[in-house]
Amino acid sequence: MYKIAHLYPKELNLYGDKGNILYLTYFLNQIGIKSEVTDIGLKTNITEDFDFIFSGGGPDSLQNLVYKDFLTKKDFLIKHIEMNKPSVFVCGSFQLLGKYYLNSKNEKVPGLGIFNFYTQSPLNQNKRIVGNTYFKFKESFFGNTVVGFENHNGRTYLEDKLTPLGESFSKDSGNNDFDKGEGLLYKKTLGTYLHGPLFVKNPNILEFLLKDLFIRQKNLDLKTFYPEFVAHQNVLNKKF
Amino acid sequence: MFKTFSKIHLSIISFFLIKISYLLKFFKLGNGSTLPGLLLQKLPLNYLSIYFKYFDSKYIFITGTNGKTSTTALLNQLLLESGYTVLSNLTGSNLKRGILSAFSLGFNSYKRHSPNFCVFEVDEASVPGIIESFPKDKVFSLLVLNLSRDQLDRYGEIDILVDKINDSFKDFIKYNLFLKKDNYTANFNEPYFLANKDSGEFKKACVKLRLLTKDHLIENFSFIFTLLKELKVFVNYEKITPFKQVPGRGNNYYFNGVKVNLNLTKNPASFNINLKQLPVESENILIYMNDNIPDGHDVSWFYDIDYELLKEALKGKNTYVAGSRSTDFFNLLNILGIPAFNYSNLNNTLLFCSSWGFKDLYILSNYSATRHLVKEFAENKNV
Repeated sequence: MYKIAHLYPKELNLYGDKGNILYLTYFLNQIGIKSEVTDIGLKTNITEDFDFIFSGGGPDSLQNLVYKDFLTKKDFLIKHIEMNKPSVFVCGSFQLLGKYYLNSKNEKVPGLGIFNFYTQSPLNQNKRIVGNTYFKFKESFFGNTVVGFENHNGRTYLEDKLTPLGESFSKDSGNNDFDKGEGLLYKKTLGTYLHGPLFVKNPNILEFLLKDLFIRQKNLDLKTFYPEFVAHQNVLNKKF
Repeated sequence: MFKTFSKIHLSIISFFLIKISYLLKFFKLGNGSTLPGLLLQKLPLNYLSIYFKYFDSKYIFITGTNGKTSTTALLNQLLLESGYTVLSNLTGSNLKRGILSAFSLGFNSYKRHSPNFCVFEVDEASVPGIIESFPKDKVFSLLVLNLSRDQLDRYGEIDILVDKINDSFKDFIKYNLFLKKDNYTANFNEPYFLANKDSGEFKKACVKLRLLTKDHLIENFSFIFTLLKELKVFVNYEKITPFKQVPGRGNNYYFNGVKVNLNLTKNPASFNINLKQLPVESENILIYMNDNIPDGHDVSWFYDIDYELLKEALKGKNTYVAGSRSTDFFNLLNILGIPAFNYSNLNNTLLFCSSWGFKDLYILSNYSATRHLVKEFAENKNV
């Protein structure tokens, strides 16, 4: 049984992020692997290990609330990440993995500090980074592009030698206004600003995360994922 | 002095804008309800502020994620049939430019005597910008019908939107804010009125207006009912004719012998409502989804629809998807194990339905898709 932890599904549930959990279980089923999803909410004690962790994005107002609870799960997260197990953090939860988040009201929300990066929001809300986007990813399954939709006010700045998840097509897209980096990649941990059903549009992301499982499933028929490929291509065909 | 100067100035402007609007309609380049306002926005003066000052009317702004157009139409009907004069933006053009267009195109009718009421549907993200131009010594009423996740690319976060609306009130001595008891209410600053739908008087009015089948319309009518009470505006509900829905909000059309029920469905909340109202006897469902500018380019909201409701509602039905984002919706249905046909092309889908002798078709369509269908059905073409 493949065990999936969905962190804060009630608090961090903006913009169709739960579609990723829906697709992950569907995808596993398609390749013949049974799975179960455990919702981890505020004050839930974690007493077991998981194979996959997912956490979505949420509004500024809930990040403070989630942060306090997130802290109690820091050791669990570090252990999971360092064991090279897959985990995906979208937007708000991605920001909380860093050192701090300076929100649009100029309030400093401390992050877990698992990674050396910080995020700050410009005070002018009209400067949100919004739109369909794509970036280059090192893994090639249905090509090496990742497509999605971003909408965030926070600008993330990676420090040290942290690697972004990919290189965006434009510097007006991705983590901040200065470099083309999008998200964060560390072992099998992904941070990203791409909201919504990321996995549905990008089977290559799942291929990267679940590579070990793929190797075990020898009879995998790639044609199964044809509609997802079409959706991916449709977004790529749009003018950026 | 202001009035005399403005009357001449605004009359000249209206003269030209009415001509432009007429030409747009004549050459079928649009409905002429947006460009006049857009042109006024290009000029250096704040015309919205000038119009607000010019007309001594009771101002009512209606906003929210869902139900703005229907609620504005219903309030218009109640006021007009009660003998009041009303200036409104009934075309659904609800950004600043739409309100400017309504003012400029309606100016000549009211330049001598202000209408009793100015009722404007306002896009929720445009509320702060419009209130900003409103004279601080006048009183307005704002109805916030509901706020929920809509187009990701236009609205960002709801919290931020509420903060902006709250901020826009701060310089006013008096305003009337109407809300319903909901999750978002707590984020608004007091004072506010809560829409009341519990009184016997309200229930009687619903019966008289025949608002029994559409739950969400009853909810929105409770705002109107509470507003009219607070403003002490008398409406004799006995004499009001039954409310006729705005095109694309549950109306029936016919093409090639197929009875079509068209339902605007532009975000998860409206999708869930329309799924709940899907008639048991409807056998054929068309989901028509585009990603044009009025729809927003983001379709991640598909994944915020209630999955269980979707599965239950479409069980045993023939489901078709069409539009520029049909593949995205088809993928969702596929993942949920709901059988569907992805034709992408609307014309092919409708021709398929008529050629196979379908008796009915229940359509869930987002903004540009609904607009397209209303136009085509109104022209009585075989789409």
